[in-house]
Amino acid sequence: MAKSPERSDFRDRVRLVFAVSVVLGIGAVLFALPALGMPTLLGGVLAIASSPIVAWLERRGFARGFSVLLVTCVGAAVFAGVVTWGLAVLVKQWDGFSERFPVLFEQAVGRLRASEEVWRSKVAVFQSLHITDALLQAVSGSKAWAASNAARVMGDALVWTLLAPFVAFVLLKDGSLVLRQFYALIPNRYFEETVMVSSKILEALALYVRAKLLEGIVVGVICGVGLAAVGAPYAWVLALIAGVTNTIPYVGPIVGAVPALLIPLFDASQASLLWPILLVFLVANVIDSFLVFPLFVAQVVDLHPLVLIAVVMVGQSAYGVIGMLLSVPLAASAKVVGQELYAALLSRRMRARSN
Amino acid sequence: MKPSPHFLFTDLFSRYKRSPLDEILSQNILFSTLSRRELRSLRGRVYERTYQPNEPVFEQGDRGFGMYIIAKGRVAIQTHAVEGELQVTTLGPGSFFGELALIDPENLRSARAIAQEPSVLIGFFKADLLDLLERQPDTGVKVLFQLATVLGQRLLESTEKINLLWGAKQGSPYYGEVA
Repeated sequence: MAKSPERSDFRDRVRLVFAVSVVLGIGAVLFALPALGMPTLLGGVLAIASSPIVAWLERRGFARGFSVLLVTCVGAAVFAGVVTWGLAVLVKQWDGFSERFPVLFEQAVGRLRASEEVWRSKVAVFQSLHITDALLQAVSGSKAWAASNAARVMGDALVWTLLAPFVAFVLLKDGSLVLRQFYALIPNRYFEETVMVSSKILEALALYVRAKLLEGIVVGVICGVGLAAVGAPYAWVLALIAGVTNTIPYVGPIVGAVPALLIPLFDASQASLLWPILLVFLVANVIDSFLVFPLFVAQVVDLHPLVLIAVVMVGQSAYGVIGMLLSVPLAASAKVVGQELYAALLSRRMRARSN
Repeated sequence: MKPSPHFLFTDLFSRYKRSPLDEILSQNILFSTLSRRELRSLRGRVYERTYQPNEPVFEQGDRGFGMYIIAKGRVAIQTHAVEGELQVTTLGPGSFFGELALIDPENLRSARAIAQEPSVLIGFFKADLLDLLERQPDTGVKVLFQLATVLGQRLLESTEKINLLWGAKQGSPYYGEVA
């Protein structure tokens, strides 16, 4: 028995609301539970980064399942190797650093107080400021937080990085099946548009993630080579930090340079490295800003710089550093959805007028 | 036609079984040159949708994103005319429509497609064709070549119809007034 058009309309709207609720519900759960959300996010990034390699293997005649398994195993082995090497280097350098840190810290505080006294005697407005005390207060607050949370955070980070390759494997192997299950919830009248919008969103996200990863690798390599060339200690660890933090829009390059610049500030014997280290980061960011970003990232995002800044600030206030990282791809996705919805509404209105 | 259940490890090592969907796809001219292995990979890229009687598949003027193959049922193709809805044709199982959306970037549907009875349609979309071209370019090129053949045939048919209509008009007693 054919259903009445009104009943069909109502049923379709209920199905659409249900489908959207499922997506929003899953997003809310992942957002609220970092134990689930972070491995999923990292796994998603790994899946997007590995997808071109899987496609390359498929073009050479390998079955998709085998290609995904091979890429995941090789990727996991490389990742485990990098983590093992990084941990070994970090532990070795941390032992030396923690022994020298109290002396270096006292020296740095002494130099800051001396500089503060000089500026107070020259500029009247500085007399009411107590910059060194404020910094010491902030540092002691961070120390207390680190003492109570560092072990938990490191444990969480270790679990996330171990789970991420498994999540990446499942996403690469069966991600399209999950998407098809979602499409089965969409009513027919919205089906084609949903497929179109979701494919554009996924394409935009994939392009953005790959562009940012490439940008991070380029900046990291330039910083690593440059820091090693000028003789900076912990060159490749600092380069890794610079590459990772470069993915944060706008403030990322500054955040990435701070650990490297603290070395000559803390350690008087390394003071001569201040300007060379600054130059290395300047060169890396000039190459990034004028070459890598315009070529690979800017055309993917396609948002006005003011909009980007606002979006990053909203992301930061909502969810800190993770919010800043996620804000731009989410904004790019929202733009795609908005454009497609507008075009669909426009065509429906034109059709109604012609009828 | 229920999709076969997928489980991580059995899917990795599963043996190929021909499904009814493969039969429908292999009989379609666009996929008629594909091997069994290629049809199997295509199976994971098409969408099976069920339509009720008088349920529109798409409206005239909608943006198109892919084509549909009729697995079961009948679909009427209609256009808006000054006099009202004009039924262009009715398609049955095995026929397909909307294939221009696979290659036209801003395709607007030139007609309305509406199911006349409970129908099962198989959708094949542009994103999946592009994915096929990226991951299995041999298969993708075969599909594109067949698509070009179909579009060329339709262009020839349209040209012949225009020639017939023009010839009929020239033979018409009212031709002089019209000219």
